[in-house]
Amino acid sequence: MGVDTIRRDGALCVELSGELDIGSAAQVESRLLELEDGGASERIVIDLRSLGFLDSSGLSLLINADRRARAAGRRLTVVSGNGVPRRILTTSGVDRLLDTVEDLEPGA
Amino acid sequence: MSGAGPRTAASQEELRAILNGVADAVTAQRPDGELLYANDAAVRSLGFSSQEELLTTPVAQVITRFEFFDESGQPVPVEALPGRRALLGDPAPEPLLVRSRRQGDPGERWVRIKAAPVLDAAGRPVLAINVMEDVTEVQLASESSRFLAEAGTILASSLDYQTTIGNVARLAVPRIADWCAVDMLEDGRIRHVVVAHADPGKVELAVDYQRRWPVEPADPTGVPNVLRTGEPEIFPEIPDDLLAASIEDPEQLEVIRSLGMRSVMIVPMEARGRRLGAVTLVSAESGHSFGDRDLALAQALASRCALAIDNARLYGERANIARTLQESLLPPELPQPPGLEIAARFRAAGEAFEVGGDFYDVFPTGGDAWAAVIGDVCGKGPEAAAVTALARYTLRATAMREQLPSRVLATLNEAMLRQRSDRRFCTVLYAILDAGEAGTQVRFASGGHPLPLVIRHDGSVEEVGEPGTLLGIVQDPELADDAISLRPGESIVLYTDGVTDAAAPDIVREPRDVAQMAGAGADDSAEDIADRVLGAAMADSGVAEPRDDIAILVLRACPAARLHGVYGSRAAVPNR
Repeated sequence: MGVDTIRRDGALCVELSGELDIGSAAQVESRLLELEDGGASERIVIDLRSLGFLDSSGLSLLINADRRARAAGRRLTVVSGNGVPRRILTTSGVDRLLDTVEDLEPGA
Repeated sequence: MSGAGPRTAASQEELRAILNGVADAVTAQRPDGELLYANDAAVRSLGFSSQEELLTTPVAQVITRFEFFDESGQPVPVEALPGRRALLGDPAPEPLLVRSRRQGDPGERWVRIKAAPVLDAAGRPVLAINVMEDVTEVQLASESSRFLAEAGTILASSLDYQTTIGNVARLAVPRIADWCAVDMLEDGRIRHVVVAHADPGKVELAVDYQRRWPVEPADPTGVPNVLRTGEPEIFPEIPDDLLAASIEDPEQLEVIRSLGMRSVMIVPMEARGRRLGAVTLVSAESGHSFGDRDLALAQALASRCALAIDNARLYGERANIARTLQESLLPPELPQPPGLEIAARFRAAGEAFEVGGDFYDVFPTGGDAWAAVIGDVCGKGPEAAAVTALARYTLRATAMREQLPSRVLATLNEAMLRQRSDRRFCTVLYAILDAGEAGTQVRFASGGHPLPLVIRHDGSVEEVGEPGTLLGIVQDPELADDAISLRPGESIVLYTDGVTDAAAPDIVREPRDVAQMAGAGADDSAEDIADRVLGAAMADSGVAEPRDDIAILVLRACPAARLHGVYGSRAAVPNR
């Protein structure tokens, strides 16, 4: 499980790679909390394009991160890519609960 | 050096006194092997009463009283002893660790023998000085801890304590005893778990003995007494008159005598305040007499066995609770609604005590309609099981008054938000089926759940419906109603994401792949279809367990021929 962070145009971009599942979700969540505590920017982007798989624990993580962002007045965007994560987000309806885009707009 | 004066020039008397004060046995040996000198410790350890007696006995006679073995139990010839090697010209023989046994004495001693030659002016050895250090205590202690470590490894290797305890008993013979037996206390009865002896023929004898003369719980001594009192019993010696006095049956006495028991100890197995059984260790052929050290080792062994047994019991209980709970979340058997053929498959992922996860249900909703449900609760464990129970019973209750599938799911969503604060969500596919002669009407809605597949009579498969929002997260989930109709012989397949993700991320199936797995000839029964989908999902995950629960529910409109069978009598009644 990889968690890479980049700041781009004032947004904190968190790139997840590997598998986001019951075995790794807790670790990723605590890393996210760390970043949020460290004064994350107005906008957080969680990029799933390099993610091979996510299960319900992964969905939970995204939903919780979105709730925290809303409570803190931040905007959270999920970049789904067009592979397995997108299918899982669509099937569960999570793509419509969260601000979800298939790709990062050029320059963002 | 002479300047050191009288302080270093000890008299012969003083030298003797010094050497006699040394705890290690010291001897000086001439090239012909005869002893020139032995200190007090050497006299004692060689079994003599005075130096004169030892020094006047030919060394060949002294040596024949002893047997020496190396660490692996192989005999050590006299020529290999360091003193002999020093006399043969080895300037610095390697020290040798030997197990020595004196004739007529069952006790063994571990001795580390060191030797160095004394050379004459020409460099020829004229004497060998032997120092023999008794390391029995150290050696036995390290053997005991090695034995306990090995026993611990065996006990930890499996939760099947019948097997592990048996293996430990076999490890114990002949290392710490000639016999090892383990008995368990079960509901007040004594059950023999294992009897071990290095010789299988003897094991048969003992098993036969246990069968012919079973222990009685009221017996005043032995295993029953140890199980009653929790106190160990030790008999360092078993004189024949003790046997004769305690056994009346002459045949039994004869068999017992044939076992050649010399020393016995019985220790209780106790863990977490429970007395679980007893370990019996018997010395026979080895002639060893058990003492305090042996008893301490036996007790350490018994407490390890007890803990392993108790752990297995606790695990078993936990797994049993989980199984009972899991079974309460799935229908014990599927109903047989008229006009429908139903098949279900369920495979749980993970450890036996991890409940929760996927569920399915089929039940009547009043009138002729039946509801079919499949769902997946986020996570596993008791909290997930509680959500599963909430979902299952809320759906059953709501189905009686709500006809619209999306409304039934919305009600469950509200119940989850109201009753649970842990944001544990679930996905559910809810369908209502009306079977009739023209086919079966299916109305359904998905709350974030994989959409159903429909297998048409020509074998083609399509995914139907629209995705909805998972339940238990937001107040206003998007939930859409859809309807399809199944002609006789056509099926609808409901499944959980374990089917697509059993082998993720190596193999992730898309719904169209599942459709391909499910694709069938028109004659395939619901059971055939369920088997095929499950088989394909399991094959993906190879020999390993699926990473997620797999649930599959297949509902098939009965083929026309069967339908006539079912409705045949009805059709014969006019006006129905």
